[in-house]
Amino acid sequence: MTDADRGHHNESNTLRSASLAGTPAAAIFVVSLLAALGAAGAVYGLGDLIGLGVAVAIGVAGAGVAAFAAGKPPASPDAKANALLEAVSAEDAPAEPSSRFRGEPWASLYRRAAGYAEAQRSATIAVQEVERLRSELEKKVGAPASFEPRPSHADHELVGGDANDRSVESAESVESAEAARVRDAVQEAITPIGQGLTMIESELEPLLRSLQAAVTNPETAANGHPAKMVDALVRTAADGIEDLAAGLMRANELAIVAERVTNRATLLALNAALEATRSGSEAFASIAEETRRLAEYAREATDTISRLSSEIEMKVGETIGSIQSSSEDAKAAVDSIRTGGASSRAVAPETLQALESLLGRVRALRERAEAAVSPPSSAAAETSSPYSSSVAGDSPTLHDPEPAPAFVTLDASPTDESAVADDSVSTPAWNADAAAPVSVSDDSHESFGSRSIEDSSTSAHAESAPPAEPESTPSSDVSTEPPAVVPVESPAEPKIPDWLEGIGPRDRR
Amino acid sequence: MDQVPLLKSVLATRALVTFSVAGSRYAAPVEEVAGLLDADRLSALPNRTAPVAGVVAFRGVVVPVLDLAAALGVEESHAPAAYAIVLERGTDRFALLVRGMPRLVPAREAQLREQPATPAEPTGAPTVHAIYEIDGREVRSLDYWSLMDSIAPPAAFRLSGVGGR
Repeated sequence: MTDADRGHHNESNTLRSASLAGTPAAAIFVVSLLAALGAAGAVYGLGDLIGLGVAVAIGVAGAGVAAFAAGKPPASPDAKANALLEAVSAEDAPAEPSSRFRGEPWASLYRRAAGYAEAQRSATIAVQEVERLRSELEKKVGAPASFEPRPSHADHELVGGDANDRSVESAESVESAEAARVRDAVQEAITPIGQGLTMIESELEPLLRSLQAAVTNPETAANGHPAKMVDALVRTAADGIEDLAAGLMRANELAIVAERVTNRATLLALNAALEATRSGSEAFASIAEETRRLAEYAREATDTISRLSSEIEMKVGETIGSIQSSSEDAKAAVDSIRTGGASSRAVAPETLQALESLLGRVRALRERAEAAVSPPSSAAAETSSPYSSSVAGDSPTLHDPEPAPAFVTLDASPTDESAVADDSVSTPAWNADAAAPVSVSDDSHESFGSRSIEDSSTSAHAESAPPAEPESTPSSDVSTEPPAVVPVESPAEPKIPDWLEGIGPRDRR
Repeated sequence: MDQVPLLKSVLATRALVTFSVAGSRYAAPVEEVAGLLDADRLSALPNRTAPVAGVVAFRGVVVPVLDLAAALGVEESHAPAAYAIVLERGTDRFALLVRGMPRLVPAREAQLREQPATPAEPTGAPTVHAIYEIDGREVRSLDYWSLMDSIAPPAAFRLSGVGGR
């Protein structure tokens, strides 16, 4: 039986003593019988026995007709209470009671029961959402995430007091626990977004500063990085031109050497032919012939080398020309940058303004993400929680428990311990550069989210969570055996993100 | 030189070494050419006269080199690689400095155009021994020995210690 059902039954019990003693059909029957007797006495007189019998018959018939006209027997208070429960349990149950429950106390009872039913439906949706997130988390980390049902205050602390109040407290407690679990899952989803926003902000800030410097001092900007790059490009081009010229000279020298070799070979062939001619020796003649072929081969090779050298020279000349042209363009660009500060100043402010706006939006998003992940202060919890304020005063045992320790397994590092002791858990992990880092595990991703999960979860089960079984997370360090267990003071109530407040259990519709 | 031995030598030559000086083609009989040298081996002489370019070592002997263009009184339009054509007659040797690679042309490819000229005129102009037509161009064969004797007598080289003459 749910808390809402329990509340409805209590309401019906209180109304049972105040209900009518007889049924409407019996009253109608008695009235009809008396009316028939009166009518018969008036018509036939009291002494006429036949008239009396007719009057009795008419009275019995009238009572039967009256009973038939009254329809089915009137419902009891329990039946009406059950009908009320069925009405409010419907998915599309209206917030205001129907005509059947207009009167008091049914109207107020209907409203309260409708609220409880809505809270129950919201809790069911929250549990389904958490299960979905847990399944996604399991898919990501490859290990089952522990989202075991946590002990609820309503299961063992509903002793004494009014039954209706206990029902309210039970429902509120369930809502709080489920909402905390939903927030834990939401924090896990928001944390990477916050990381990304922080990175974007860190990239935008230097760019904005450089643009601001360029706007305020364009001369400095002109002599800065781009101008240096262009100058370096020009110098590189000049060096390239020198290298190409040197290479071209070497190519020409190669052609000259080849020409000289060819001339020597030709001269050798001529001398051999001279000797062969003068001596008339066939041996000399063959040598002279081979030498001549060698000279011809050398000549062909020299021609090829000369042609290649000419082509290289032409291409090198074209390259040098293009490099010189590019260098001149680059120099002109540098000069325009140095002398054209006005145009730069005319364009840069617009870009600067857009960049500033973008950076502001990124900062706002990051702050919202931080607020969504950071556990709230007690004052914030009082003002932001849609249900804690109404119940806190009624049942201090539920929302003002003894400050039970939350157990966070940490690496055995003194700095980490001191960080945990000094810093209460309000700083998101991605903004850890502003606060002492908290190392929960070796895995950066897990350590990022584990801290928030642990801290927020303490608000939901701080009273009942056994120290020996801390809530297991995908992180191996957190889920392993005891080691360094450092108690951390848990916050009173995690702050609900702004966007989550709008879809709270009672305002979802 | 007597006409008959000259004619016999012209007709008996088996090949001609042809070269170019100032656009004109000249030739020397292969029997009188001892060798061809690259002119980068040429060594200049102090107090040398204009036609004598210097000396060159050929087969262990220092040989005087005559700048034929300067000796003929013509100007070379351009001066590509220079070569020395060593002429040899008995023990006498000297070299002609020419521009451009010489060629060896067989006598069958050279057509004798005229009878050998008479000995040189008293004006001192070089004597033309024969005129050939090779590849449609006129090629003259000169009396280089008399040209060299008129510029640098062998006695002068002997006094200066230059061998070959």
